[in-house]
Amino acid sequence: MIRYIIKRLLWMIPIILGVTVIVFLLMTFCPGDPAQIILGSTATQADLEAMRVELGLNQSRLVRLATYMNDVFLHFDLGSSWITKVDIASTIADRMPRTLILAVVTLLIAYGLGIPLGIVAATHQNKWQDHISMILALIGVAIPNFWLALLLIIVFSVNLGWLPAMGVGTGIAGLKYYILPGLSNCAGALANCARQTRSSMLDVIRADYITTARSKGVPERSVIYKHGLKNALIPIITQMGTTFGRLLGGAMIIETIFSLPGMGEFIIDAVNNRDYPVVQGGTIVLAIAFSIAMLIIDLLYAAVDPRIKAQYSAAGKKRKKVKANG
Amino acid sequence: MAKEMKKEESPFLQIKDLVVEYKSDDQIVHAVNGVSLNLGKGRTLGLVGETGAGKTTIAKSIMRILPDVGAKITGGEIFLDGRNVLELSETEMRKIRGNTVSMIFQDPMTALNPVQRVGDQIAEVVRLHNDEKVNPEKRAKEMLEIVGIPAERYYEYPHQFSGGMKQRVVIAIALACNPDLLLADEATTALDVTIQAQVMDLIGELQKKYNTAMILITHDMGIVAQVCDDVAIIYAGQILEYGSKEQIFDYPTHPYTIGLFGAIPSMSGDEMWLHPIDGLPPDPTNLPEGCPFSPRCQYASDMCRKDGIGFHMTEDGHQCRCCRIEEIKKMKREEDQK
Amino acid sequence: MASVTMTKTASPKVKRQSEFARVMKQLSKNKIAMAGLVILIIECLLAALAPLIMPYGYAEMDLTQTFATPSLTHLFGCDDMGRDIFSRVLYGGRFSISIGILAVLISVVIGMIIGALAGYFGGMTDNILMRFLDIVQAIPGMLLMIVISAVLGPGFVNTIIALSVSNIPGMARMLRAQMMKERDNEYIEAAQSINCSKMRIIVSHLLPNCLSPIIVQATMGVAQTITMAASLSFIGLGVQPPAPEWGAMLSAARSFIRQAPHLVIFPGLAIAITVLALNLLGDGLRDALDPKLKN
Repeated sequence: MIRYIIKRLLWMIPIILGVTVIVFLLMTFCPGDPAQIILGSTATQADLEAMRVELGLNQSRLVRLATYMNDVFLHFDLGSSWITKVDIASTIADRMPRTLILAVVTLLIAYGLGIPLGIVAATHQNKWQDHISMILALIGVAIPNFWLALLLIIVFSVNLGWLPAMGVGTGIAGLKYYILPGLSNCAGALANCARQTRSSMLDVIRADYITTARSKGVPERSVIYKHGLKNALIPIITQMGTTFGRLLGGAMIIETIFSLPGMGEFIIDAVNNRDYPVVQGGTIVLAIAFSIAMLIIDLLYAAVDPRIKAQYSAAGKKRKKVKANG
Repeated sequence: MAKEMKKEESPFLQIKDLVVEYKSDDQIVHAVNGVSLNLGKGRTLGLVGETGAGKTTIAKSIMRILPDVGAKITGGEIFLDGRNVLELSETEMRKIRGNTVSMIFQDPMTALNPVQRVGDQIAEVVRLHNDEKVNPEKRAKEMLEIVGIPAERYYEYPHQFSGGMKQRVVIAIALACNPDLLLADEATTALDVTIQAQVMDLIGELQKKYNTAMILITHDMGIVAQVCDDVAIIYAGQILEYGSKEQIFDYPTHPYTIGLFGAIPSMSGDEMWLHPIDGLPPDPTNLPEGCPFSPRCQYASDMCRKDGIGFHMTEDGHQCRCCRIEEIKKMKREEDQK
Repeated sequence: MASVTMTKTASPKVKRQSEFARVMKQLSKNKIAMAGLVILIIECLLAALAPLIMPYGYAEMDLTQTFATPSLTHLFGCDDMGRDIFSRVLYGGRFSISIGILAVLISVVIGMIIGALAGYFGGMTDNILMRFLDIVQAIPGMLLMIVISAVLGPGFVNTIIALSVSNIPGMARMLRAQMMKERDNEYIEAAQSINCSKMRIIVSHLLPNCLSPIIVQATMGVAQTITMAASLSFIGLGVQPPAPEWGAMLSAARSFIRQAPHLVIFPGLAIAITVLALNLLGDGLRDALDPKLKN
């Protein structure tokens, strides 16, 4: 198992290097002259030239890439913003936790409500509980998160004045700043989770081992939750990976609406201001966070399903055997 | 011997006119249509019939574990030790399932929960039906040993077991609480022949030890000949012929039973070909009027196609749902003479 | 089962036509899916015929009507420049629907090529392609889209490109998985045994059998792409104002959320209804195409 985790972590290195290369090369094709962006329209020709040399723009793309990779991976230096001149790495360190809190809050709401909703729908198949849950789920999937955010602001901030529409706070009280963003970002995930739970629960309920459990005299509640849910969780966890990616992406837009100073707001502002080093650095860090999240999800998978766990442990051994033979 | 035991007061299991229907897509599947049978303690009844004849449905009705979507017991009574199972509350029923009555399922590959330890699946049933004095884990290990699996494999998962071993685990679960009635649904069909024999021996031994009654569901006449006391031939949700094993094997009376034997290679005879029964079982959503076998029966008359056929007692305890028994006997004799 | 696949190989044309008829028949029985289809058709017609139906152009300003609330003359009211929101929503449908469909078409075609190559050939080709997709997919989809549109700059065509590029990995992966599953079937072995060329096996045997999940995925993909496109223009990338794109309209409406909340409601409702209709249709198609999944 530990061997598997180490293997996965090692495998992340080439992936992240690849992400860096792709993002860096993409950004070099961005329209506009970086020197002009940094110095503004009033700069003289000589100043611009000097700035280009300072940025290394007179060198080839490959050399610039090598320098950047060297800075990022050997010195953990993501450079500084062209516009605000702040250090990118330390700004990210400030902002990343907020984005993660938002993602986790969203994930908790989505799965905390989505799974029970799906179970209710599955155990009452074709009854009113099922119909209502699935209609809600269909609507939830269809509503764009940024629209829901605006609607929630109108209702809860503008009209009722219950919750703040923007900003961040500190401590436990600060959590209230995450409620509206979390709610607006979770609708889609919640709906997808409910639908997935329903369909995999329906599959599982028909399985032979559920009949076996009933035939043992297991109470219906335990049949559903102990025998059914654990098996139904497997496809739900699979879907969690894609969901988490979407939540991270969705969080970016939600952050700009609620002026929540997280990674998303940082990157989107940078895109609009053509502050490319920030975009590069932010993307790389988010890719790392995403990869780690995927690893955690895969481990969750193994925790639920002994067959997957056996596969993970076997994978390491097999490699060794093949190498010994070959 | 068989006749002596039959004269007990009220039998342990008594099914009267059981009717079960499945509803799906506005169609009604008539799975079981008026089945009645009796079974005493320690005896074994074979339910024989083709796939889809309603054998499993009968067994599941006894335990009331029919799928909740669509399946419904629409008529009849099932008495277990004098109590009507169909009138019990869900809580009372739970005490019966796995304890008084237990079932061995058809497909060992899917009958075990893939994410639960094998031992825990046995221990669960023990825990549910015993007080704290019994240590479920200890009993589960004991059961593993009884079915021939080393106790240390308690902590493994089903995917680490072979098909035969999984079936042994299923049997261990079924026998863990020493049930009074065991329902074995094609318990050995999914297994190799050698393992089949082992498993049947095992069940037989345990049955003798605890005086368990058993319903053996199968389409394998060989196994029926080996272990059953009584046999019921099921077709389209009805019992067509019912009697002791000797009666059914030596004097098959119903044309369907005769056909079934014709479809089995006989080792003693010098026949060149098997005699399959022409046609297919009827569509259970649209059963023929009269005798359900009439469309395939070479002896069918107009009367067979019109009215429901009652049982005719041919000799003590041997019943046959056919109105042309005498004619068929005569015709058969003539055929044999040729 | 075996005989079915055999006929499929023997006469793919005849088989597919009857298959198409069967699917349509199945689909037409599904009332919910048909409702989705009808909504979509009405929406497309309204968007296409907007100039004929609407008395106002999408850019026509009437400063006397600034922030007019919904009324008989302006069904959905007017925005900060006195433009009729109903007209703008209808014209906006042109952008959103065409972006959604075009972006998905492009990503399906390219994804199909990549997926088919990887899935059929396996080995080295598969390895290289999949590792590349691993890298691209390590970037969350929305972020990838933002980065690409930052590079390409705003605009209708650039938005389509950005959206299709970020959809490709998912499509390719799905097709590859499907190919791998189909590849091991016996009818492919049969085709190989009669010396079919690889190209022929892929195009005339494998692809048709992988079509069902692609159609379903594509229908759902259009829905998702429409939301993504709106998100892009909402944050100032993608299609730019004054074009009446739904996301761009919402973005503009954000500044007036206190004075005129009705500006926020209708463009969002348009997105939600379109996405809902597409999802309903997609669900229905999945049920019709794959009877095994039903119930």
